[in-house]
Amino acid sequence: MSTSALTMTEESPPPILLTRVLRLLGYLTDPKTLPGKAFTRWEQSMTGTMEKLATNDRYLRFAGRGLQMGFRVRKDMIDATEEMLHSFRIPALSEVIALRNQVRVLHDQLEATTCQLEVALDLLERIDARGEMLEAAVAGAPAADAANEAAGKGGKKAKKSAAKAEEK
Amino acid sequence: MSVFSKVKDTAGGAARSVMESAVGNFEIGQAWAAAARERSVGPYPYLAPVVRRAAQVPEPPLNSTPHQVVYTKGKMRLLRFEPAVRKHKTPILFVYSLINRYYILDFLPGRSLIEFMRDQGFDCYAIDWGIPGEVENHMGWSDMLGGLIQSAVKWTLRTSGASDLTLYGYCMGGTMALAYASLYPEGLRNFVAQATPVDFHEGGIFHTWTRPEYFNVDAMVDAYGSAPIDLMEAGFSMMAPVQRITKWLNVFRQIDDPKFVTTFLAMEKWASDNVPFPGGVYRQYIKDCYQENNFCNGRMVVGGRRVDLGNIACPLLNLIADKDTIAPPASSLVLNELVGSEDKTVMNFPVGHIGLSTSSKGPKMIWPKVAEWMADRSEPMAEA
Repeated sequence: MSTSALTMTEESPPPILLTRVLRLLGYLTDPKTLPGKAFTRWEQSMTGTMEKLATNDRYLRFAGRGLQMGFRVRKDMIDATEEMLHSFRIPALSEVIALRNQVRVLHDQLEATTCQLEVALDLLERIDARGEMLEAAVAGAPAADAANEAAGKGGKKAKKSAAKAEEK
Repeated sequence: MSVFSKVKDTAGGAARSVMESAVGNFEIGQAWAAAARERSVGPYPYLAPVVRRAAQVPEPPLNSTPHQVVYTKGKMRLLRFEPAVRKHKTPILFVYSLINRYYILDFLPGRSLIEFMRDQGFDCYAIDWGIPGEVENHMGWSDMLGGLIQSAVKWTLRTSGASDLTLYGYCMGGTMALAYASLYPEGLRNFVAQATPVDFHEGGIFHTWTRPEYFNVDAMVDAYGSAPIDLMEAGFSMMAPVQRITKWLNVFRQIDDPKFVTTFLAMEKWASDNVPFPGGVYRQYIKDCYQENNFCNGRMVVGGRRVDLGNIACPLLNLIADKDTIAPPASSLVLNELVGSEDKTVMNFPVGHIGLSTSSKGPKMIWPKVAEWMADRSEPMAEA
């Protein structure tokens, strides 16, 4: 048995039953096939109907009223349930969820605080470095003045000797 | 090879495949039970495990660009995507919508807008709004703009060491970022609005559905405290209810193409990862934007101040998706007439709303142009 045959088998294992079923479903609804063409026609007609419904004034008014009623019923039910739980001193689901979220927020906050501290330390380091540079500049200033003065005197002497040489 | 070992191998192989099949089916069953427990109504939690098993692909590697959390405030996190070689001193701050999650901007490796911009040498930051809870439900636009976005801008500038930034708003995040830019223009060097609705009366089907005679936003926010996930999902499904299911049949036809299946699953995973929209912000968004169209007419008031888009004077890039049904081109185009900027650019691309961030055209056709526009207007990084 050659190695390549083995590799091929490893690379493309035979499709499992589930894959075959999905492939068949895909084939049956493929617009290129006969059943797929029928399916596409049905899909297009359904899409057209839904589009009309989604912009129909009567439907939208009806759906809006239904939603509004649903919202009111929900609000009343939640208020009643939470009140009952509180009367038994039992935490309601909303409180447990809030607690869980709070823990996550604390974790993130800790991560961010670490990062902010790093930024602050960077800034402090930069300020320190700038301070040291300034100190060095201040300390170096008298020495530089002295050097300048010495250079000035030396310059005058050099000029005098050059003039003498020219005269000679 | 003896007959005995052949029989042993065959039996072993059969046993293994039966075992694998049992484990696979058990995993699907577990995923379905979890979806039923969470009362999921969308097709993703039920169909994704089946497709993953049939196509033998792992979970899509969404949101995989390395990042760190540099700041948090409540549920909001500011994420930094630092480039290996930074070429531009001006950072980019991405402001995403409160609908769905920010990681559509960091989709899959090789198809991630944030990863692309980071590789172009931009120091990238993104606001992750997190999953809003009780506290966020009581927040309004002034808390979002003057509290969260302003803090994000401040920390972006502080962390990146820059004096100004490029604000990059996407979808409803673009609307919020525009409102922010009009109220707090300091520190903004450039503005990029990607698929951002501005004239909401050109907002397509959403404008129709949110008309006051059909939709009572107050009743919903009073009942739920927020815009609940199921209702938001139902709204998006109603845009194409039949295709919502039938698009899965197309995946069945391409079940042997792992790349296609992974991209499809990644997109569906993101689309099904809805978060509740904070109630206070949603109430004002629906009323001021969709119902009364105050946003583009300079009548929207946030924290006692009027949102006037004419206050935006920085260079503006308006990115428009030609096939957008959520922020149709007519709804976004008007922005260039409203801002006070002199440097205004519009770029159109033949994709849909999400395609601007996830399409295969992104890294080849769309993002290089956007990166070039931003690079031309960003401060270059000083040589070390």
